[in-house]
Amino acid sequence: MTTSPEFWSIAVYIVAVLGLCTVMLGLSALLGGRSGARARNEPFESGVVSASPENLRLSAKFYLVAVFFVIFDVEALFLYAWAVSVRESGWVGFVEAAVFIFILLASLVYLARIGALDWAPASRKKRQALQVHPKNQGGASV
Amino acid sequence: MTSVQLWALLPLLIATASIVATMLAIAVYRHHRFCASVTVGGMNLALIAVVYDLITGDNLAVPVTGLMTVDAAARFGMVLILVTTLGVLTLCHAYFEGYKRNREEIYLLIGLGTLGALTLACATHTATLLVGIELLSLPMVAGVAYSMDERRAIEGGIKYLILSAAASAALFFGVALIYAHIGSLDLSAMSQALSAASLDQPLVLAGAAMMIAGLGFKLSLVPFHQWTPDVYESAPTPITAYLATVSKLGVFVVVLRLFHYGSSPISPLILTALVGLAVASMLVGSLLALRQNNLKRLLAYSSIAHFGYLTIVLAVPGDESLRAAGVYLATYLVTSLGVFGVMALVSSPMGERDAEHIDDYRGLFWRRPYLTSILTAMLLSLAGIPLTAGFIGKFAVISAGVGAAQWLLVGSLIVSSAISIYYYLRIVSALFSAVAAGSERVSEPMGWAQSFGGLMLVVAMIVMLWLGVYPQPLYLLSGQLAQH
Repeated sequence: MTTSPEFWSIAVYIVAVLGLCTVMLGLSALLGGRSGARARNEPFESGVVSASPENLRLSAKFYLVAVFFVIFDVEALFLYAWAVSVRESGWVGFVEAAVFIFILLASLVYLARIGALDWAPASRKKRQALQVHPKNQGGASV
Repeated sequence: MTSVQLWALLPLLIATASIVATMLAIAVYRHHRFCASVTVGGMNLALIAVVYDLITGDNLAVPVTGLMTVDAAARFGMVLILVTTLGVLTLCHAYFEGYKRNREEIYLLIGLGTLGALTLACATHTATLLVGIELLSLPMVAGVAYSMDERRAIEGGIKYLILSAAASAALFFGVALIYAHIGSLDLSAMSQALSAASLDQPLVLAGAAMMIAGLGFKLSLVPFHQWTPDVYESAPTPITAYLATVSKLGVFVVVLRLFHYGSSPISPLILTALVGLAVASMLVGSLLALRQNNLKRLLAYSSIAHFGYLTIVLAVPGDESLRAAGVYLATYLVTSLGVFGVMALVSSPMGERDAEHIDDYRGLFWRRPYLTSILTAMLLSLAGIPLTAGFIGKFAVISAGVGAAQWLLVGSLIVSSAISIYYYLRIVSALFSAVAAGSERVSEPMGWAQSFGGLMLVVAMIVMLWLGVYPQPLYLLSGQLAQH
């Protein structure tokens, strides 16, 4: 294995990569000027302050939407694989794809029914329903 | 796909259909007993399909698409998996009846896990192995963390998620290394490479080590056992039962295919590793169980020891040891279901906390004599006292070990069993001890015998004693494992 030409070319490549990195970092550290200030050590991101308070709270809904997107997007990818071979896979492939799509639809129905797609939390929805209700009653009485 | 292949795959198809049906049932009409019956009905149909296939067919191996083969061993595994799943499902029904939040999703999770186990039972390719193992472990992560309000459950879920992901990564890294050497992903080719492994094949040896680590984690063999007590303790009791039975059973069928079904006996290097794992599991499992006051942790360590006993069959080539594996698995499943079943029934209405401390069981006999009798018999079966199923299982494994002159393994089994009698009898003595009035915590309803869970326990008890007294049919049935 050590005698094969691929081995030596990879070895040279690895050494060259490591050497290049060392030379670039080392030379700039040795030759470059240095100046220190309070803001110098912060990460620079096009003038935007990149650090934010670490106790930032995001709604778990964002995570849920992201997961649904990933799930259904990846499932759709399988359909692309079927789409390029519709003729070759024939009726068996069609039935299998149909079953697959049916299961996806069933899971979408399930998600909708358990309220995973509702943006507002259940407590606020209840509050909103309560707010609408007395206003209507008030309008009728006046 | 021919009709023969579809027919052979019928149990998996039915299981899949029942999962989708359960999901739709939850979406349409959220009702505990209704959703439970959909899953239970589906699993029963799948079981009928396998049993029908076993009885009427000529039990041929049916290869399906190169990824799976439904052979006699797979059918035997599927029967055990489905029966155990049905037992766990009835426990879930009793246990989650008093649960405050959504109760129905647990059936979905158990159904998915069972589909994974069924896939593993038929797997003959590492792609199927991957799908099966992930399908088996990921729903169980959600199952462990099912009571979301409890900090402990979340902790257990995260622990199980991270550790089982790491174990899967190790397993499939090992698969990749062996693939790099042999150029095939077939389990039979892998098995051949494992039996021919020698010191001048570093890739195969490293791969075998990583595969053993990954599979050892799933079977919780020492030294890959650390997660077991924590996760067992934090999971709801029926899920603990599931983890201890179905989850390990599915993996063990694959382990048999990898390490036992090769045409030549296993390579001495790998044999040494397996013997080491088995001896360590038996001794460490039993010794760590000695000081446990928490019943779930104790049973976790005892299950480590039990799978140490079962690993003996991997060290013994030949069909006789496969038969022993079948007998041992069946007796272990019945007994574990019984023990966890009593725990689940005793715990269920408390809601807040499972009855798992040994003090919760002190003097239980004087309040719940029948339930306690079942628990006592099951614990004696775990200890391997004659006339119980556990004795038959242990006997089969010992006779396999003696037949191959594996004295180290047989010796550790005897030492470990002797230690284990102490901690099982410690529970039994707590069950029968006198208790001061007013200090009892356990309060399961008196109507336990009428519930499905109670019925399941009585059946498990009868099966356990029947296997202990008349094991001949089980011996014959276990011969299925040897036909592959």
